[in-house]
Amino acid sequence: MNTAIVPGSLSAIAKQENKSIAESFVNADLIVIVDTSGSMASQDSRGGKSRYDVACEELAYLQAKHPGKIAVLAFSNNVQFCPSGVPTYFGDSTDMAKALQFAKIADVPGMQFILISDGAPDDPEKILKIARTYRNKIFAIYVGPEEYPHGREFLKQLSDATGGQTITADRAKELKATIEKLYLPG
Amino acid sequence: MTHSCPSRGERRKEIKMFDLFGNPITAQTQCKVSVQNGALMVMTPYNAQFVALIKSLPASVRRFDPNTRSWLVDTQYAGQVRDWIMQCYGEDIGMITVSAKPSPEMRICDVWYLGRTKPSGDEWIASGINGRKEWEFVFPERVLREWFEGDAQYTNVTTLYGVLGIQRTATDDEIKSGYRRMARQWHPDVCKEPNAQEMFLHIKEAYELLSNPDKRAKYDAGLALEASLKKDEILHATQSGYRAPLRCGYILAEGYESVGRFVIEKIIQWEDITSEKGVLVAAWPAGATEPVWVWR
Repeated sequence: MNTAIVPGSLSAIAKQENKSIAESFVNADLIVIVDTSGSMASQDSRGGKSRYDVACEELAYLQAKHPGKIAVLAFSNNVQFCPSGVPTYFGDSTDMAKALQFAKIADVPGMQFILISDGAPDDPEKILKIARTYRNKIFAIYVGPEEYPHGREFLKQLSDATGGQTITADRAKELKATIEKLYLPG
Repeated sequence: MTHSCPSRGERRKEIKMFDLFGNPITAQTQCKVSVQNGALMVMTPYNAQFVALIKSLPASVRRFDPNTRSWLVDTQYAGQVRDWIMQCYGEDIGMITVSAKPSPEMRICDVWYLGRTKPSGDEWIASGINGRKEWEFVFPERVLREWFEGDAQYTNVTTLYGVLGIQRTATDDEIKSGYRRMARQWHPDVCKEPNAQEMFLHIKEAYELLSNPDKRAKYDAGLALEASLKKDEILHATQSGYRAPLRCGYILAEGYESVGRFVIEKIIQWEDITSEKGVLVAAWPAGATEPVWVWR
């Protein structure tokens, strides 16, 4: 388990204000759901780093910029709430349905969702069915390579199903700028 | 300091005791163990080593009864007590026949003060004082959390629902009355506990958050997410023991008698103690030897 606490993350705010994580979550208005399946370890991102490592750096920057506003979830074949701000690396398959089912508990008024993924998920129909139950829009960021747009097509279907939109951040290199295009702090 | 047991010959000359029924205890029966109200009643001549051994048991399963001048010990320790008597007095009291744990009964407990939980064996317990200022009640932490924290008992953090002493399913009216009740209990003008001011502010914050439907929905989502974390990932572990948000009340509870105390297994209802003077508010000021009670 990665025990680092990113400045501005929910855990950092909870600690700073001597509150529980649940209390610090009240001020969050963005859930970032990060794909940490095996393909995210591909070392084809900025400076030869993995897509996962770059995604972690970009997320850390955003959490510091918007303290207490961003909740991070990580998923692969498993899904996990990561209040410390560092998405747990799973390195397995892409069970996006499980992730959306889990994140549904936070589908409350005033919440935005951004899903970051680089690949085709395991069960597209099931995912779309769950996505349509969301009351908030789901935005998606495709972080796979531009030349293999298969995963991006699915993410577009997903975001369209909820009224959101999909943007590409090739190999996670410009992830933070892309998130900032979509995120409207409350 | 170490103590050695006197020889059997010495004891026979020195000790003259009577049991509960006034019968003289002879040298052969100087240690007497019987089962009374679901507890072992252990009568022995004073022996420092034996006392130390009894005191090595968790406080919730043994206590000295000054009226009978005997130790009351939970029946599950019958085998150990027999061994210790053999070790310290050289006497075999034989097999102690104990019935199974007494079946639960329902009682209305007049709790005039409820303390912080403390470790006892493999769980944490809080003790409660009755109207006669006797420490009569034992509340395991899990029972208090189940009542005050409801579904959130998986965490070791007091939830905002717990701060207001209400259930997770509370209506708007229940939130409001929970707030009023707790604010009355913890108002710094009345409550003399060292953290009364801090607790009062926390109660206000809890009310402000839970009375706002959008914030409450987010908080509930946060609790659900927090519940998915492993215990070691939750930051604010309560190191110093859980405190129930209410210090007193008439509590309808299911429980059983053990070593002369009533151990609560389940809280059914919790009502304020009231009189024509108002509602009873209990607090234990720092440095005081007993709680103070105020009708408000």
